[in-house]
Amino acid sequence: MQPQSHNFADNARRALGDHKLRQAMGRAKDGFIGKRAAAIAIVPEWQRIRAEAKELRSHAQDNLDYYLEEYEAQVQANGGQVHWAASAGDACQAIVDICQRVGARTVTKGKSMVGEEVGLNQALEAAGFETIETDLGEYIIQLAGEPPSHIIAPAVHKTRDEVADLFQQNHRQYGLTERLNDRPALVDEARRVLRDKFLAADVGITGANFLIAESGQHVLITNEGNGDLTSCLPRVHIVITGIEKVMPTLEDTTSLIRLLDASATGQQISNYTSLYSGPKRAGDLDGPDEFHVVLVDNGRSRMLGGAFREMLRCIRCGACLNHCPVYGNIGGHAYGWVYPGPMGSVITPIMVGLEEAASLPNACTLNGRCGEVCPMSIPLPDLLRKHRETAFREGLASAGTRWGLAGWAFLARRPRLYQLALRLPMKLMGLLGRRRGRFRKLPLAAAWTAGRDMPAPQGDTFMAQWAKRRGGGA
Amino acid sequence: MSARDTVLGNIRAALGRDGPLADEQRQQLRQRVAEHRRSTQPQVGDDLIAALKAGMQRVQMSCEEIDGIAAAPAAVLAFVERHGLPAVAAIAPALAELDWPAALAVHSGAAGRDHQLGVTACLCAVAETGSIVLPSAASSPTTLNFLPENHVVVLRRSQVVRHLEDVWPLLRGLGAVPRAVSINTGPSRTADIEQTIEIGAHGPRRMHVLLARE
Repeated sequence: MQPQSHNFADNARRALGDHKLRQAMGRAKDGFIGKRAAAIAIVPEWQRIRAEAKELRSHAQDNLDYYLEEYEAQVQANGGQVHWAASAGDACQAIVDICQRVGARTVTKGKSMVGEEVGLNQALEAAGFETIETDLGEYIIQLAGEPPSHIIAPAVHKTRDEVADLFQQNHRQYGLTERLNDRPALVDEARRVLRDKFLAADVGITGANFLIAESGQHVLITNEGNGDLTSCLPRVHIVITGIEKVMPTLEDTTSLIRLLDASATGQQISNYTSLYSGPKRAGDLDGPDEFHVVLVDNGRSRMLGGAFREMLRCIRCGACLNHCPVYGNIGGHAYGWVYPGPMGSVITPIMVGLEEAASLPNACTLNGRCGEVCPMSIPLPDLLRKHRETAFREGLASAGTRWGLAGWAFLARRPRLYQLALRLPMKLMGLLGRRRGRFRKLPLAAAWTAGRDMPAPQGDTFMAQWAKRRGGGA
Repeated sequence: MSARDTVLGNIRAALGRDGPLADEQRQQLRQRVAEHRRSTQPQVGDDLIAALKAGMQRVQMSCEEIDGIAAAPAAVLAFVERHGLPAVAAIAPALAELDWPAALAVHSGAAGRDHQLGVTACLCAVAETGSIVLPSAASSPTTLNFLPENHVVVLRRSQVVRHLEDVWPLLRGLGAVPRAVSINTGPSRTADIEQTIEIGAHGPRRMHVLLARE
């Protein structure tokens, strides 16, 4: 999708006024946080597992070229093909080419954030393929024509009523005559309609959570089973994934699976943890005739060599989104591209450019929760600050911010002037606010006073009081 | 230059190298892989069967003990009657040798769209998580695990392992890498509408384990 991150401030303001969105987000946030906490509480070894997993992932990435080549060789040994894509456009082209060569008409998809990142659906639709998302959340937002608003719960911003409306509008062609209101009926309806699509599809496309260098398998983690039907029913299976996902062995990956499942949904293990490699074997009674993996770089090798290398450890669990007070209030769409929240505010400027996304790293209160909950110990607050520093250095900060900081720096280096600059307005405010004790409105602070009153200052500045006290022999 | 060369070249440049790792380092990495070193594992109680049952219960998987594998067909028929299903079962060819009752129409092979019941054996079960491990093979098609609304698994007590890591040597013991290995833990579910869990998204609505003494 075309990034809209430059509109962040407007997007966020609109989101804050969206009653339905606030309702949906409020409901989701508590659930995510509580489920994760409960899942971690029963694993006393959590912090040790977390520390070890960081080292395992770092080891894989320190030798990334070696493990990718091993993975490739094993996929080929299992009868599959590996395609390398330097850019988003290359990835889409590789997949469109395969679909055209095999004469595909219908393509079903399991949820893939890399697919979102490279704009795969748009490319497939432009090439004339009927493209159907099969994860329920992805299917809902595909009907709505929206991007995902959360990396593991793409339709988290939608209320049940909105889903009911979407099905009523779009499922008449499949024989739906009445409006379905309750959740089980809506889930059944999606199951009924998508079942035909699974069985009719020529090509199935899924993502991958991890790639195993030793065996050429990839790990696919889901709860609905749509990823597995997509991997097993069509005659061609294509996997799209990022190059950072390779791990040496299944043993090295097991801890990461535990960390991912607990952090994402609070599960000890997701319903379906599946390993796949290659097409159907001799004698197999089901499975695809062709198997392809598209390995996407799209900025990842640049991250490997720069200041944001630690971000490559990300396993896309969404815990940083769920614990971010900014994300929790404005939802994912305000961020303007496919990756929202703290992880998105680090990745988006790297992938679409800091100029487009300079506001995102500022949408942060520096409360540090994202870094604390990250199962891969990614120092998200530090990485966000790095973006802010670069944005400031490159003159991408707004004029107000730059002048404000310049003015503050001028005063901060001149303590006497600084004291005076604080003391005079304070005295004035104390005098003016003496009667009511508070201010409803203040010049230059309209945003602050919009939601609360400013108490009138009483007495003198701390420095002045301190001087007086010391002078008084205290 | 191919896309492969471009991407690998970029990775090597980022890692401060201008070519692949030296032979000595490659040898070290090969050795490291071959060791199959494990990380810290969560505690699992000594009684593996009890842990497995607790794990399965957590994820709404039902479990029934039977005397031996030979008792599986009768238990499957009882399952069909209990849930009012059509008396048709798609079964894994691995189970075709069992003595299936005449009251049940048995199809040995992959699952089709109209099958409401799939019956399979499995490689093992994991006490830590309550998971069933199902590698694909000519004798165990993967569609049986996902397409029918009901999945019944036949498991021997001796097939229960402690941790997820204990599955990996068993997989290597199969020889060639299977196309698919399903590690399934309970019936299919979704929380995509209002973050509330609903059972029966795209995969089975029921998952039932027949735990055989031998």
